[in-house]
Amino acid sequence: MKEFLEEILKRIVKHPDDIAIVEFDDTSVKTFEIIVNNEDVGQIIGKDGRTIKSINTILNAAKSSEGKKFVLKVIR
Amino acid sequence: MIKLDIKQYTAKTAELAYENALNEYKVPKEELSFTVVQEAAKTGFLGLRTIPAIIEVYLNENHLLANLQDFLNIILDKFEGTFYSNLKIFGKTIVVSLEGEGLEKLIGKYGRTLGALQHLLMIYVNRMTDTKIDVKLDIGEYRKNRKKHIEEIADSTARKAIREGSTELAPMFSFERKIIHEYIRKNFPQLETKSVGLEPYRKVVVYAKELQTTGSKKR
Repeated sequence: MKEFLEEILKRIVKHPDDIAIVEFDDTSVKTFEIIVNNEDVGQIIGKDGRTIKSINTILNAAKSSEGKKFVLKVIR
Repeated sequence: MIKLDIKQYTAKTAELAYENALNEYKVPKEELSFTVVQEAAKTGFLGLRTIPAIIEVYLNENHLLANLQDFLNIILDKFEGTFYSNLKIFGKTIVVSLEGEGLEKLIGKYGRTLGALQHLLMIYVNRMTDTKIDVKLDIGEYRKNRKKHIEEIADSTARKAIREGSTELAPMFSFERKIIHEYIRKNFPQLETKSVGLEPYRKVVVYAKELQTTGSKKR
């Protein structure tokens, strides 16, 4: 799923090489901390958080091996 | 008309200039269009002076659609099922038609996943273009098949409403609620339907008409 998330992010940012994702495993949730170029923070969050929420929805709807809920955090 | 990444190329002939462009853009011919800015010509005394050809080259809508198809495939890949997608562009709107097995998961509860997918595709397209392009997901075939199923639900709900006086359904898409309203109005004139609640949790309530209820009580 981390690779999938990265694939999506890469295609919507201006600076794909600046993306870094850190994965944290908890018992029931898996958290992805996303670091992107400052210029791209607004783009991946979107108006009213719509873009990041959409990514989260897609991730949770896609087949997940662990059956865990995914949480996304954008770090700046 | 979509024009992305516009550049000018100069060469002896327009054909040569276009070939150079193809080598640099590294895309199939169908995705790269050009218009001639200046024709190659010979002028001057005895035609000794040559004027090179200048063309303006740009990535066209085929390129946009090919990229969008790639992006869509990456996402569809992560969903269980067999999907067929078809992309078409009409002016500034791209229509993505989806068919196949497993669409329920892709649509999601109250269409939430579908909405998210549509938004992401739009973000992706608009990162490539300067003009705003709309992306619409079309699940026409799914709706057609779903109609039959919804009518069955409408039928059993109507019977329940007759037995119990009133009953309510789970939240549905607007196109699904419309099917329920129409089906019951047509087949159960003794019942009435209305939608209640706010999207995306809006649902249909089915109930017996006033007169008929009191009428049945008297009997």
